[in-house]
Amino acid sequence: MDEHLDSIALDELRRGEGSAAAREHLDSCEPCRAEADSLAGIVQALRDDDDQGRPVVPPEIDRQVLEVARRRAASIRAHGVIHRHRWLRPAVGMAIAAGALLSMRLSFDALPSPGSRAEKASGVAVTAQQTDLDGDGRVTILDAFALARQPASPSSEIEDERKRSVARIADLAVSVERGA
Amino acid sequence: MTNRDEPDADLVDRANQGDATAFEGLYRRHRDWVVSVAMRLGADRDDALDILQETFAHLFDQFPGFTLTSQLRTYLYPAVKHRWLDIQRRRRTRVRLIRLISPPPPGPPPDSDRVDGGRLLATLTAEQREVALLRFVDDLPLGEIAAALDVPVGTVKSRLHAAIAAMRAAAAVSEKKVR
Repeated sequence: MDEHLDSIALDELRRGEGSAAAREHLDSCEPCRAEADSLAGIVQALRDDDDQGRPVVPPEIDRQVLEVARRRAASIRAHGVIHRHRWLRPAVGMAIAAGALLSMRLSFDALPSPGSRAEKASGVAVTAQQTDLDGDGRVTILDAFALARQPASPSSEIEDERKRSVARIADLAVSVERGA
Repeated sequence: MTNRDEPDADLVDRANQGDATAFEGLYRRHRDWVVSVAMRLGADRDDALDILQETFAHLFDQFPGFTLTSQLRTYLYPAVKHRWLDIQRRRRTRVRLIRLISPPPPGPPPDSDRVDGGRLLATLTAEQREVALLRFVDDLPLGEIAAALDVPVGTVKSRLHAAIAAMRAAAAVSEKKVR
């Protein structure tokens, strides 16, 4: 490697990353070593500056945050309940409306045969416990909504699986509605 | 109980099962960093403490079912930034990213050849400053910074490159003045 290292390459070496060739160049190149030393000085200065002036978090703030945490943990242990915030209410309303529309549409569908209804009911009973995400004791369109609103994953594989699960839970909610 | 070396992913798993000590572990581990990020963005002490509470309330609200696909700070950074912008919007004031875009008030003249980090940062644009701090102070990998800022890795690299050049120039000027 004959060319001098750019700042990104020097930064990678500072972090113990970078290629062996880059490291070898740095070891033998005086100008690059000077640049690396300069970068190290800049990094240290930024860290020193960041340490100054940061306020100490008062104990009452810690207590308040940890009380929220304690309540959330207790809720998960007891019910697995997902408490919804006020900002979510309009969205929940929309989901309820969507569920109602879906139920209305289904009421026009032909009734399944008695045998198939029984099969569906028994199948649903097993799966319902696994898909009752909001812990209200029922599988409804809101459970699909709860899964859909979770933070998106950068992994397309996980996202695809999530979308399939949302569809499955929605289908299950419809099956429960039909079987009731 | 939480172990200092326990990965965030393990704490998240335990929190998903309702373990209060795991929630506390996540809070204690990232509390000061959240405050620090808020203040870097321009929040004063009171705002930073409000942002701290709101950010963790928001994080806890994601449980159960929270999946950690990258470093937790990659998730927290945009949450802190969003809350700071929200505070500004609520107040209907002009954007005042004081520490990001304005030079700090003049301090006493340097009495040594030590480089002053605040002065270096004052030479950067808001975007350069954000990347430089996430990289050099928070030690985040380039990919994680890109995810936190929702920009391509190439953009992170170009901002970092420009930031280093600007800070080198500022440091060189500062050293000349001292001599």
